[in-house]
Amino acid sequence: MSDITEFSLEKIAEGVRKGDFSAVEVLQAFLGNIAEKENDLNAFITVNSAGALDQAKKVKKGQKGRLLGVPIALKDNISTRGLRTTAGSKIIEDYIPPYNATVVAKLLAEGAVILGKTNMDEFAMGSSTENSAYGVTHNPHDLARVPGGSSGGSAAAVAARLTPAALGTDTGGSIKQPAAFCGVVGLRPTYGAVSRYGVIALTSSLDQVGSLAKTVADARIVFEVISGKDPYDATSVETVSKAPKELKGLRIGIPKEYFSEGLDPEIAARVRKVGEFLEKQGSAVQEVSLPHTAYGLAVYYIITPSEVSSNLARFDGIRYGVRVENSSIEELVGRSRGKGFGSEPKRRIILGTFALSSGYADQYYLRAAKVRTLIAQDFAKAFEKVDLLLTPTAPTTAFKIGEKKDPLSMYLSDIFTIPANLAGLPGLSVPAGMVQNLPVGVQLLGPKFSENMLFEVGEVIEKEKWSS
Amino acid sequence: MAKSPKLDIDYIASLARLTLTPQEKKSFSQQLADVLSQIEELKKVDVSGVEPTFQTTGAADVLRSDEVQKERILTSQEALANTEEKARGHFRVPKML
Repeated sequence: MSDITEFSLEKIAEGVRKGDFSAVEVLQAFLGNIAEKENDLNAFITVNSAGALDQAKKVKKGQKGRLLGVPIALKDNISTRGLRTTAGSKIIEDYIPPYNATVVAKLLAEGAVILGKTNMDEFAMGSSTENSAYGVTHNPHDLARVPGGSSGGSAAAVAARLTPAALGTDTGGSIKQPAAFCGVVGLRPTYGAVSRYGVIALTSSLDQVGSLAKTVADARIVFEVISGKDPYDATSVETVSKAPKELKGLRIGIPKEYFSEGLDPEIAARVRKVGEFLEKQGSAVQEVSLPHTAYGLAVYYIITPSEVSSNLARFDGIRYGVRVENSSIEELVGRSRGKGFGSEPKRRIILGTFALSSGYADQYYLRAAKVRTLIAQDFAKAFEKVDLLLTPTAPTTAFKIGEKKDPLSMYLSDIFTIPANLAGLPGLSVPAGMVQNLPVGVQLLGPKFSENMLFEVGEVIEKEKWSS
Repeated sequence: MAKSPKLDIDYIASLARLTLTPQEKKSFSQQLADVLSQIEELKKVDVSGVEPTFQTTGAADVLRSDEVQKERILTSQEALANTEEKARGHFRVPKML
């Protein structure tokens, strides 16, 4: 039999439905790859072997479901009933959620099999998956390099064919950037398109669940399954994804501010080449300006820590997680948090608490929220002139494990993904070949709910053979 | 450019209910000073007359009908399943009064 682990999601579901192969055979093909490669990669925190086998055995041919018998890996900040969910942190090392996130319920309803929980930077704080309490994940293209982050386990698992597709979460670029580093497709949907219910919160005004997959078509199916308004998440909205436009006559903008100092010249050249290619296909490419781009990072590093300091208050040692006994409740809470959290959550809690503290909230948080408006207005103005934007996903290819030592240099790997996220816009990272034997991703950004257009253009880009 | 304000790490850590080691206090103070000096860049932006963005959906006052959602209710056993420190159907905490 040909290699199931290279099949599209549609082909797997169709094969299971017709009885060409069983869901158990599909699962075993992927568990085989996990047995062979996981020791080198550390893409998973938990492999759900027994649970997945139980689920797969119940899948029968002839059943309905767009993902019938399709194994899916989930980032470990997505709650799974009865299956340990750690968010990459020691503070909830033994936490077993009593309920499923809405996205998990939706996957199960379409016949998917939950393969396991993937590694991530602690509470999704990071861009390399080096901040995980469960060890670093290695990039399948070069084991000495990071897979990106924070959804690094999901990206590496898809790239190495340990899973046909995965869910990640994206706050500042945590799906798009690892997708680019690992040479897979990553979609961050429009804010509100996918329910956040049951997803362990980092920054509530930015967090979105999205898909990582081998192809645009696969990423699209997963998005269609998980999206939609959810009564359990008041920020979710009905997806009214705009009809795709034909590539002919499509207006594509390349923002000049993204070709700044920190961008690898070979990646810059590749993005330009993709632009020229799309122009040959009949689209009109022009340069546009997003003047507040340079402020995105500073805005992000006020807003995110501020929301983090509030969201992570729930980890107090009382209801779940690490608990350091003490006769004083204040000491119990403070010491439990001090013991359970790693460095990056602590840094962000301190920074956010400071940014929201009396006397500083206006100077920092409120000012950042106003600059966020200006960043969103930049995009709105650009989308009066063009239909979508083409940019690099990340300024570099995957960097070496241990290379970025100070927090600021790590934060810089998200400079191209943060601004659109602040504006609530969807983005798709699509592989565009290799540079120095490492994958390169280009980012397509569109107005809210333009996912279908991003998929259409993404498919054209992924079909082209980009020189290495 | 204005000098970034001094971050009183003991005070902030107490507000955050987060016990830090002396080494953490030292390294965080330095690292956060670096981050704050970057953030000072925002002072260069003219934000007069600009409304803040706290969320991007434009939704306001999203309410649901005041009905019990039975499928979402955890049993006492489920709610207490992730701690050893429980007694008679409650979470156990140190005496507060």
